[in-house]
Amino acid sequence: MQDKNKIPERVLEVFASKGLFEKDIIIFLKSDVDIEFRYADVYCAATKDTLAVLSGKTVVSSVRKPFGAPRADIAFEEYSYDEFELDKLSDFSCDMNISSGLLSAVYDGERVGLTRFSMSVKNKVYTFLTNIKTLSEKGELMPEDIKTDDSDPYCPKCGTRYTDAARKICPKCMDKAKLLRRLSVFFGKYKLYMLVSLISLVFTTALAAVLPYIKGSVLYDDVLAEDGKLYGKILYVVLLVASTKILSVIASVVNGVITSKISARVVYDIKKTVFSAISGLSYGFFTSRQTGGLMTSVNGDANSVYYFFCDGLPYLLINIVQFIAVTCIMLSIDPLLTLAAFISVPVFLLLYRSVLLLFDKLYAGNFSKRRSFNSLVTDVLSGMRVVKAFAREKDEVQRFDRKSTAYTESDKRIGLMNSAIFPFVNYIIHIGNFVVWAYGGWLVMQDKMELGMLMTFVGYLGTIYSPLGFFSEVSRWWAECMNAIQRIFEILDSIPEVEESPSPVPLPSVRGDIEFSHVSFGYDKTKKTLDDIDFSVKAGETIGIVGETGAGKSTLVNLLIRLYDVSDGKITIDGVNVKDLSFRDLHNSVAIVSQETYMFEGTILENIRYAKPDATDEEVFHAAKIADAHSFIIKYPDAYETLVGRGHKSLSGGECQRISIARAILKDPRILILDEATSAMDTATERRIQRALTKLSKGRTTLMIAHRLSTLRDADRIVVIEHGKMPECGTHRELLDKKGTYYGLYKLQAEALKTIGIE
Amino acid sequence: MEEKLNNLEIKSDTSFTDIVDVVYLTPENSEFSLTKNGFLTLISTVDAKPEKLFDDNDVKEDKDLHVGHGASHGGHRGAGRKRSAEVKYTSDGRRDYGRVILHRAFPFDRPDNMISVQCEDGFEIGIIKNIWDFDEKTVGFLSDSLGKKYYIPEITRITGVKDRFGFVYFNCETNSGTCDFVVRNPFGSIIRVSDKHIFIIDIDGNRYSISDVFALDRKSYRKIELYI
Repeated sequence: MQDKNKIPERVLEVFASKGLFEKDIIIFLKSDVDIEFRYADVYCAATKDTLAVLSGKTVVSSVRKPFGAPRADIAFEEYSYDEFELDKLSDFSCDMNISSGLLSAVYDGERVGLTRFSMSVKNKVYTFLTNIKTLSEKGELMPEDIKTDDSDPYCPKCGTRYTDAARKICPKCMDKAKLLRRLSVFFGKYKLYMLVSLISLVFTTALAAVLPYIKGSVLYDDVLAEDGKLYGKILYVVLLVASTKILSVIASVVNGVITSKISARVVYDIKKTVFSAISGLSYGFFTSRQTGGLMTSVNGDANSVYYFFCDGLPYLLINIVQFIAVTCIMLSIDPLLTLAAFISVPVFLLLYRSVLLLFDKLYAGNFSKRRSFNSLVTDVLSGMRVVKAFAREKDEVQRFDRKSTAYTESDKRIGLMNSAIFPFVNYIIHIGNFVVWAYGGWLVMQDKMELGMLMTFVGYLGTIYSPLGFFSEVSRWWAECMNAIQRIFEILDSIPEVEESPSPVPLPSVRGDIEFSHVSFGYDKTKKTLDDIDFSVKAGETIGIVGETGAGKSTLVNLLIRLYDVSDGKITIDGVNVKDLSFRDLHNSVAIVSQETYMFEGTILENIRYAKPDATDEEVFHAAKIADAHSFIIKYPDAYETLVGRGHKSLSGGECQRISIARAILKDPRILILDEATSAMDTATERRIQRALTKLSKGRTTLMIAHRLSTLRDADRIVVIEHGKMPECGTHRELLDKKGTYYGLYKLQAEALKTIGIE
Repeated sequence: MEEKLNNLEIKSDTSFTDIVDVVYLTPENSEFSLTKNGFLTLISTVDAKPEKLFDDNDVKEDKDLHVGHGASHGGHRGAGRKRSAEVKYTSDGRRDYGRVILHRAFPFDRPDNMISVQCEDGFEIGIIKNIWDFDEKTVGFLSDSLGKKYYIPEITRITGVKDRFGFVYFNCETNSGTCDFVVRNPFGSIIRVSDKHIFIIDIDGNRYSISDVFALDRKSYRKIELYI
């Protein structure tokens, strides 16, 4: 319900000062752009006899008092105020411009703009439009008649815009720890492995920390120094180093094997979970642009997670632990020397960041050039027929050359930068090394430090420099992984728009009565695709549906098979609302052959059997014969086992349609829907199939959508759909007598035939 | 158009340009004006009647019945309005179309040329080749009307850009006031019209323009540099 309380107190005060009181306001709209194209808060409030439009801006100024906390002072700065008598207003309308809209109406015979709005509040404006129309026509609006729009796309906590209003996930308030905890469910199964992996990790780190000590202090001070405890026992040290190394190798192998195993399993689990979640979603999910992108990224996202957890995280953990441990050891050896070692690190990190930023830009440019290069190649190759037909090969080669050059240039620049910049950047970090050598050498000469100790120190130095570059990149890696995890959970959390009833009405045997009662539907709130469609089909009847392209014919059947749900009215099968049927019962009783056919990769047999995997060969033959497909299938060398689908035998549009019809017939449904199912066939084939289908449709309810009226000659009745409405319904004869839309269509097609001499 | 098609005698030298007419609106055949509330109206000797599938007599029984208007349904149609079947003429026999809507054929490259003039329901009456063919006053009307239809806030300063989960949150100052918006996939939603002119399209489909990215102050430019 559009909440009155949503009008802020200050605004209500302004309204009250104009004599418009809260109790009288029936509906209101808050728009965001005023008539002068300024971003503003525009309130359109309607009472039973007035429409008031108040435009202004909420101004917040904080006032600091001598004592106590600062107080925010909120005021409403008024830009303009207009009042219209509701009974003089008529013909309300919305114009959509390029980046804004205008709500207007005719007032006293002159059209007047009420408010402009941005695309962000478009749905709200259309809801208001519906309400104000009813209010101005009827003079009153019952609370139950008020249409509402509750799609508030802003996070109630922090006011950040949701990236997807339907899912309401605020990127700012989202709990990252929670995301990780949820992800850990996937890792949970492998607790033991993870423990072993962690132990091996600690072990590797510890060994790595010991090694410089052996190679430094032990070698120089104990073995090589004449007064050393192990003087001369060189073999001992070599063996010690070798065995430490081998232990370290074993530990890291164990760790590597386990992580790859777990990560691969986890990625597999994630992909599987996501894919099954996707399959459970409503059809609308797949057609909306934003989520379509989500789907394709599933593969990439699961891999991002994999790389982070398999490559990134273990490396990061080892390095952090090692870094801390080694820094502590170094500090214990000589704090001043440690400071010297880190002298160039801040400069390095700063420089490294800016170098990364530079490379980001280079790579972004490279990416777009590669994309445009790739799309050119695919474009030309798949459009080769057109290229050749218009003899444009030369131009295409030139175009290719231009794009290819740009791409190569960009590649070259990245390569050059890579080899020119990184050695210098790495050199900077090693400045610390030189300082250590100089200062440490001086210490050794002053006998303030043992040579072995210095060697140990230098050995440690090597281990801490290498991960520094990685540390400065890890935040980005982390962010990328979080993005991926968030997108994955977004899909897992999506609630299908069309949900199966939790307690479905069982309908084991369907008769096939269908009733559309006052059905309305719109893919988008701003436009009704179907408006008040009302007709019924008796079991066994064949109904033809005709209308212009885009009139809403296919939408009608999409609603029947619940790819979408109706917004108003209801559809029943045998008196049961389709919403109350289980998906299984519904889809078992209805089969659809649509205009766009789809062949899965596999044999023709598999494709026909898709609807009924256990069908016998005889059944398949019968279905194929009815669909007039048998005759062409049997001519192929591999007959029914011919491979079709991507990369295999390509079938013509008509052949695909015939296989699709066979698929639907094999299911032996009580309700058969043919949505332009024979559009790609020649008239003779169509006629043959029609005859067979007519026999088949005895006792079956058939809905037949067609452009060609000749396709519908066997229909018992014809429903005409036009601009989402149903102006006519009746038999062919009745509709001709009525001289309405159907008559017009019929005349047009008859004239078309007349021009070629057929009457 | 239909008539012309029927009556046309096809000879071997008939060019495809002879087959159908494109109606051009000129100062000689058209008179534009603005209503007191700034809506553009047209009176013209061009009498572009919607093509009918059959005679008007046939539809009289059903007033709500709409007849297809041929191929000229524009993309930005007004919605929620009944189509008025009433055709008005002035005393000198010119057609009074009432409110008309302009639509650019080449909005980026030639904003003043080839403007489609449409009825409120999207039916195309004709095309203006160049608005500057009209007198100064009419050019004012046409520019005003185009300006409103194609109004896009111009970004003057970018105060904040944050990348969150692949979505970019912008805080900007525009010539219409400050605004915040969210962009999905910045590489696809930031469109380059020319070397310096870019459009940003946010998740709701709102557009924002930067006529000259290089004229932005340094801080603003640095914020958007990565995406262009």
